[in-house]
Amino acid sequence: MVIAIIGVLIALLLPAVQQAREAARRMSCQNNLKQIGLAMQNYHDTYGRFPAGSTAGVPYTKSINWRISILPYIDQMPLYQQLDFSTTVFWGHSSSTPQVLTDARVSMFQCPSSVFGMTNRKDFPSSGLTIGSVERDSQVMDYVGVVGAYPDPAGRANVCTGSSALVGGAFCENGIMRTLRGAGLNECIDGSSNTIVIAEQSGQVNGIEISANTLGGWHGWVFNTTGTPYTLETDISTYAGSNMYTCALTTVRVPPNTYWKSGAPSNANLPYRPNTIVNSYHPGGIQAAFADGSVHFISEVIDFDLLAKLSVRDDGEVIGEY
Amino acid sequence: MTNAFQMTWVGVAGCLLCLGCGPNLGRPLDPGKPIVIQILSGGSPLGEGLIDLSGAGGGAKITSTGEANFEHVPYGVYQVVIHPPMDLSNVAPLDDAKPTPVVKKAQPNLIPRKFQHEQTTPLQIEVAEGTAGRFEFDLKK
Repeated sequence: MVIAIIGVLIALLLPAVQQAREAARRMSCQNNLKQIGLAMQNYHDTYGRFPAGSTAGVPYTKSINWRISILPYIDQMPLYQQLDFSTTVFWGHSSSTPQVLTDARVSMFQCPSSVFGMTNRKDFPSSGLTIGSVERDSQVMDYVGVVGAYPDPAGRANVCTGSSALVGGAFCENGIMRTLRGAGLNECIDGSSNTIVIAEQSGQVNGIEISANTLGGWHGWVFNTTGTPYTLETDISTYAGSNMYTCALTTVRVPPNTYWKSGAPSNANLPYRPNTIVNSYHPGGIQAAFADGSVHFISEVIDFDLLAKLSVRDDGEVIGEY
Repeated sequence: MTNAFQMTWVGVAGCLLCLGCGPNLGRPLDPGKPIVIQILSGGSPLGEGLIDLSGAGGGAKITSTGEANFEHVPYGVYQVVIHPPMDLSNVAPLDDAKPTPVVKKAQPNLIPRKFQHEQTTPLQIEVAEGTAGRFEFDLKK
C-alpha cells in the first residue's frame, strides 16, 4: 500500500520536475544567446558594424564565420590569439587546422537542451576522423546566424539568388548577418528590436542533427572554387554555384521545428545547404537573439511571413505580434 | 505480500500514465499521408537524385529502385522537382593536405533541366484522402 502511494506521488511529481529541469535548461540557453547578442553589440561598438556572417578567404580554406569574429567578446581571447589569420586553415577536419581549434569546446555555443552534446560523430562525417595520428572532433554548434529570408518579404529581386541556385537552395543577403562585409545598425532599417541576428539550431531534422556546421562550425562559406567568384560587386540575383557550400548561416525558408523526423526538402537536408532549419528541443519553439541584444522565444507555429520579416533587416514591412 | 505486489504495479502504472511519452517535439503536422514517387528514365529507374515537392511538401532521396519514400505529405497539390545528386567531397575533399582531383562523372545527365525547377517542371501530383499514394513518372515520355 505504502509503495503504491509512493509510486503515485512520484508520478505526480516527476513531470513537474522534468518541466522545471527543461525550464532551467531553456534559461541557460537563453543566457547563451544573450551573451552572444551582447558580444555582437560589443563588436559593433569596436568596428561600427556587426561581424560578417561569413568571409571568403583566399584560398577558400581560410574563410571564417561570425563565431570566430566574436571570440574576443565571449571570454575566448586566448583561443583567438592562437589563430593566425594569414595562415590558419579553419576546416575542422584538415591536417592544417590547428589542433587548438578542433579541440576547442566553447560552452556558450551549446544549448543544454540539445541531446547531441558537445560532439556528434554519428551525424557529422568531419568529426571523429584520425588525421596525422590525431583524432579530431568538431564541436556541435547550436546557434546559427541569419543571413536573410527567402523569398524576400518586400518582393525585391536583387537581394536573393534564384530558388535553387545554390546547392539545392536559395541564399539572400537581406539579413543582418550578411556575408563578406558586416552590416551596421544604420542598415537595420526595420529596427534592431525587429531583426533576428542569431537563432537556435539545436534540434533535429530527419531524425538526426542537420545544422549549419559544415566542416566543424568555425569555417566560412566556400564561394565557387571553380566558377565565378562571389564578391561585393556580384549581382546576387543572377548568381549560381554548385561548387559552393554554406556554414554558420541560414537563409530562413522553412518554418521552425519542421521535418523533425523525416521529409526535409533538399535545400535543408544537409549541413551545407543554404536553408538549414532553425529548431530546438524546447517544447513549442525556438529562441533567437535580436540586433538590439534582446532574446525572444518564437513559437514554432509562427506565421512564416512574419518570421521572414523578422529575419530581414530592411524589408520595411510592419511586424505583427509574435 | 501479493497485495503489496499488486499495489506496486498499480503505482508503476499510475506513474507511467502521468509521465506519458514525453513532450511531442517538432512542429505539429498537418493532416496527410505517406506517398511513394517512382521516377523512371526510358523505362529504367533513375538510381539517384533528390525529389522536392513544392511548398511545404518536403523532400526525399531517390533510391536505387527509382523510388522516393515520403513518410508524411500534407494533403494538397504539389509540383514535383527532381535534383541531381550533389556531393560535398567534390568541393571540399576530406583532407586538403592530400587533395583528390575533382572527377566529373561521364554519365549523361538523366534529368532534363526543366524537371529541376519548380517554375518549369511539368510534373504535378495531388495528395488527397482516399486516393492512391503511389505516383510514377517517366522523364522520357
